[in-house]
Order: sequence, then structure tokens, then C-alpha cells
Amino acid sequence: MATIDEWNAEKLGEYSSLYPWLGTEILLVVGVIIFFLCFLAVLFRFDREDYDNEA
Amino acid sequence: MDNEITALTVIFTEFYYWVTVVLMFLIHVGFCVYEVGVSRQKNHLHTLMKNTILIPLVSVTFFLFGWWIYWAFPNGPGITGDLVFKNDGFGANEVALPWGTAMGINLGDRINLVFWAAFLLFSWTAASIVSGSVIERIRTSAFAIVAVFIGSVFWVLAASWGWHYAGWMVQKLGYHDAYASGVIHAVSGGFALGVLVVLGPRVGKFNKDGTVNVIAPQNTWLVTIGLFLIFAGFWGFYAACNLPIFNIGIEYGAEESFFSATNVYLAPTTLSGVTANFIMSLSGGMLAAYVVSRGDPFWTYSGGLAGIIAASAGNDLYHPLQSLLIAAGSSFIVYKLHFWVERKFQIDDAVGAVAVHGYAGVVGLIVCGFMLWGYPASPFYDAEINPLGMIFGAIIMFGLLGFLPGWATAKVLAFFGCLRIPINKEIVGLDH
Repeated sequence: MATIDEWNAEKLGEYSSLYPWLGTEILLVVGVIIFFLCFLAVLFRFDREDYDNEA
Repeated sequence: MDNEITALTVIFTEFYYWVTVVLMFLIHVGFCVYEVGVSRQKNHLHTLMKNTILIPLVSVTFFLFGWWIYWAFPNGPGITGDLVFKNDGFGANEVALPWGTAMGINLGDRINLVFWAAFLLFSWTAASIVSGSVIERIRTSAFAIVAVFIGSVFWVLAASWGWHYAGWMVQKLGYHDAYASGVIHAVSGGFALGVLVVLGPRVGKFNKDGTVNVIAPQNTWLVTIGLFLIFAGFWGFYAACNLPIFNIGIEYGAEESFFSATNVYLAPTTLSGVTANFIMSLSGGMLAAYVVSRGDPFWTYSGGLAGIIAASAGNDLYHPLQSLLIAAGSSFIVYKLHFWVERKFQIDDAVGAVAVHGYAGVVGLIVCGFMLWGYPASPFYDAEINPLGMIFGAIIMFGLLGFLPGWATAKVLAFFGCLRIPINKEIVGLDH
């Protein structure tokens, strides 16, 4: 889970990525894409309900 | 970072871009306030939320693919090379893959994400320019698609082609656009025009005999505050188009260091001179617009904006008085063109965005081609800035990357019946 478990003064120059769960980035991207597409679907549904169903 | 000069340069650059991002946020605040001021009371909330929601929409998509497009497409592709996946640490797959380690907090790279954020604020601006022109009749869902296309695809392509120091337009056309007359403003103005052609005018804007009804801004004070906020944010925009400190001596092949601020093409300029040019182009635009509009507040402020936008292509090199005159002339042309197009083609651009951003951007690019004729377009390539290349560049920006995609996007949305709000709802108002 933790990418860094010790701030070693001798190795500060060797540290790069700091965020947790290093290696799970693709899963995060897939999750965000699904979340984003769901938002768009809801947005279109709102407009249909507001405009088309009552028109 | 193991020496003081490197540490100071990197951390100063990191902080510099961070400040530009905060300043540029004011542009979006300004656009929201301004659009609400222009819209009628029955549409205030819809107008506000439409522009607000583009912030997350463009941010997420710019993280997922917009930043990658910028780094992948400088060659066209196919004009000066292929897609740039890897390039000595500056390829798309090295800096911009959304699952790459460069796209997270990383002690080995302190610039990438703050640079991404500066570009993202440009993306918001691109989408916001379109947002104002289509108020009071476009669906929020349709605008979401429009915003993603202009904010995370087409303006980014424009930047990759004409703003990247190795962009094919820079190399082949001698294209020069230091503060984005074309790359953001002409593209977005063209895109807005493409959408407007399909979307059509607001109910009541034109009479059956073709005469125009004026739908004046409903709250002049909000318009005023909004445009002043945009001006304030524009300072950040200008700053973000520069590298604050760069060792161009070593970069150009000399043995000794020479540090300077540079423009986006890594050519030297001074922030001091650019600051004067910004103010003088704002002044020139305002003066001309005040005269041509007979003191109309809306157009005086908009003319100031158009003036800056027109002078922006060459504001890294112009004399301040040249900036003033270019801005004044452009502001006059933009004002006249707006009303001519409105009457002739019945285009209802609610905030004059096509004119202020699109026409001003095009005029600015063309003028830049003549004014800076003979200057190197980039320190790294032989191409010279020239009128023909800049005219061709203006056509690419406004027409190919702006108008055509905007028109096509709106056509597809209209085909599926999800572009425009039904007429009865539009008459009642979108907040009811």
C-alpha cells in the first residue's frame, strides 16, 4: 500500500513516485473512465427528462 | 537536485507555473460572471451551470488524453514524422500517459503536472469561449460534448502543431503565435461559429424580414466585473506562455551559460517588455472599440480583449506602440465584422465570442506574418516567419481545427435530436 515506508536521508535522490498503491494506475484510469461515462449518461438523461418528456 | 542553481531554477519554475494557474482561474470566474450578466434572468442558472460543469469535464478528459495528444502530434503526424511516443524523455508515452508515473507526485519530475495544469487552464478557456456564444438555447449535455472536443482535442491539436517548439507548422510554415492568437482564440472562435451555424439563433433574435433585434446584456455590472476578471486572469495566461528561466546558451550549443526568459518556442524574450505589450494592446483595443461603438460598455471591454488577442501572436517581439496600433486596428475590424456577419448570415453570437476571439485571432496572425517577416519561427529550425505561412496558419486554426470540427460535432448532436432545447422551454426560460 505505502510506496515509501521510510524517509532515508541517504536515499532521498533515489525516490521518485510517492503516491500509494504504485502499479495500480491502469485500474484507476479504467475506474475514472467508467465514472466519467456514467456522469455523461446521467447528464443526457436529465436533459431528456427536462425537455423531451414534457415537450 | 544536488546543486543550488538547479534547485533554484527548477523550484522557481515549478512555483512560477503554480502562480499562473491560480491567476488563470480568474479567467473562468470571469467567464461565468460575464455570461450570466449577458444572459436574461430566466436563463441565469442554466448559463452558470453550463459553464461551471466544463471545469470537471475538460479536466478529466485532459488528464486522460488531452495532454497525451499535445505531446504525440507535433509532427502532424506524417508531415514531419510519425506520432511521438518517445523522445528523449519528452514523448507522449513518457510524460502524458494517464497511468504513467510522470502523471503523479514524483520527486524525479517537478514540472510536468504543473505544466499540465497550465495547459488545462488554457483548455477551460477554449471551451469557455464557445460556451458564451451558445447560451440560452443549447442543452447542457450537448455542450458537455462540445466542451470536451474543443477543450481536450482540437485546441490541443492546434497547440501541438503550432505551439510546440518542434510543431510541424513552426517548422514548415514559419508559424509564430507566442500568446495564442490562433492556437486558442482563432480555433475556439472558429469552433463556436461552426456550432452556431447548426444551432441557430435564439428565439426573437431575428425578425421574419431578416432585421436584427438587439438582446442587450441584462446586467452591465456583471459583464464589467466578468471582463475585468478575465483581463486579470489574462496576465496569468501571458505568464504561463513563457518559460521564466532557461539556459538558452547551453541549449543553443554555446559553451557558456546564458539564462533568459523565453517564449513558448524557447526563443528569448523579456517578461518586462511583454508586460508593456499586454497593457498597450489592451489600451489600443479599448480606445478603438470605444470610438467605433460610441462608448458602448460591452464593446469597449470586449474590444480591449480583442486587442490583446490580436497582438498576442507577436507580443513577444513587438514594440509596445506597435502592439497598441495593431490592437486598435483589429478591434475596429472585429466590431464591424461581428455586425456584418450577424446581419448577412443571421448568426446569433450572444457574447460576440466568434468576433472577439475568432476574427481577432485571425487578424492577429495575418498581421504578425507581415510585422515579423524574416524572424526565425523557432531557434531550432530554419523556417522564417512569413505572411503566406501565417495566412495558411490562420486558415488551419480557424477553419480546419475550429469551424469544421465544431460544425460536424453540432451536426451529429442535432441529428440525434440532442443539441437544442425545445422552443417552448426556450421561451419560458431554462431555469423554470
